[in-house]
Amino acid sequence: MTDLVDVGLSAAGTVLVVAGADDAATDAVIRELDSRPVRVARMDVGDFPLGLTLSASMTADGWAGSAATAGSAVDLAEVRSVYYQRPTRFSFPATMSDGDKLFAAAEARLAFGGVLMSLPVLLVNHLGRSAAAEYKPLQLRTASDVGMRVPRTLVTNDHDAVTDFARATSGPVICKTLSSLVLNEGAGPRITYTTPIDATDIDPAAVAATAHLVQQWVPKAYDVRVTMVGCHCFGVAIHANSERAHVDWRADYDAVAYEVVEVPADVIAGTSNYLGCLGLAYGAFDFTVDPDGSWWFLECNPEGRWLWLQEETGLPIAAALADLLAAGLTR
Amino acid sequence: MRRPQGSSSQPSTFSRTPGFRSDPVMSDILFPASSLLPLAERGDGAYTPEIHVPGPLRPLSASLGVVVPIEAGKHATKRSRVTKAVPTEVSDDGNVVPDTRHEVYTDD
Repeated sequence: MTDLVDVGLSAAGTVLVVAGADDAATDAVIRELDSRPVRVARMDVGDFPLGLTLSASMTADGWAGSAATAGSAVDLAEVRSVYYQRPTRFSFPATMSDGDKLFAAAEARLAFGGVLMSLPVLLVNHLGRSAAAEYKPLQLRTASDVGMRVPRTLVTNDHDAVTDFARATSGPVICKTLSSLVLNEGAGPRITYTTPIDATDIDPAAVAATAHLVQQWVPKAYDVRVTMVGCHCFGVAIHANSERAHVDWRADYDAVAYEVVEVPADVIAGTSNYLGCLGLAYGAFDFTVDPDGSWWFLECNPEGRWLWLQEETGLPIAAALADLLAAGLTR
Repeated sequence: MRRPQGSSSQPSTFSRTPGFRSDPVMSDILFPASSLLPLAERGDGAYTPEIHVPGPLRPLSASLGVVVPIEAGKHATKRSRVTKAVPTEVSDDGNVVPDTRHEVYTDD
């Protein structure tokens, strides 16, 4: 069971880390926080209710109370910021029925989520805003609103609309998923990467079966992952050395090379405004840079990973997150 | 021997971590309550791949999926796909017994 781990004490307040026990990125952030004048308390809501107790009461100043394990507790009133990084699902006694577990999970989710989102402190990221920011149509619209260049995109389950879109688009079109769901059909996980499609050669019924995101293929010089931590911007070019990686770098990690790049001022402004529009403190942006040097926004993952980029490039992303959390700016 | 992720050594009538199927009684389907408090599975990850057999009709985007070697990948914590042995519990006769299943996660 995890831990509500105390790491240092100070009058400067507590950084509450809500994360799975084996999250290496979280470990890296906590190591950075160790050298800053804050107390760090780490918990995993997956320990609730068997090993974690929540007790919060509404007061004139907001929610007061604690989250406690057998050995430690964090006073909600002393929390100055929250780092929310994929905590695990609640664990309930095996003697509960499936139905009661669903019920209990819903109650626990809304309790923890409600209390955490009510804290008048910085959340990285705010749970509800992060959830909303997962919607790719909203991402694309927001990116366009803040002035970023966005590929022509169609969301539809209408085959005729796909063929019309492809006909009107000069050049290839691709299909990408709106979610990150992984299918397992026994032979291993099946992941749908960005895939070029021929609109004339697809089954209309397959298109009609659900919503699809079809997009103009942007000619690509290279990709860039822009990791925004508050106002700090970290740009890493991802150079593909295989056809699969050229289409979608996630499809062939062994064929990509990383390079720290300077992010143009207008892109920094766009990503900053994007985070502001969606109320986020952190975002992992994916861009394609075309042969003319133009940056095209593809998507932004509000919970995107960053540790591997820090390890590949030495960029101080964990330190930036620690600085942000230690500052604990009110949202 | 490695089992396919999501599988169990025994027939399972329930799992302690039911995965992404877990919201049949939740609220607005376009903004599921699970989204209000994003949660991973034990051992990290955002969902649990469930073994299934495709029917004759499947969404185009699902049919475009490619099988990814379980050991492949490079980032999630450090790598993008990670397979972990996850303690769980199973019961097919009313007696709950500990079990382990292997799950694959991605988080690009």
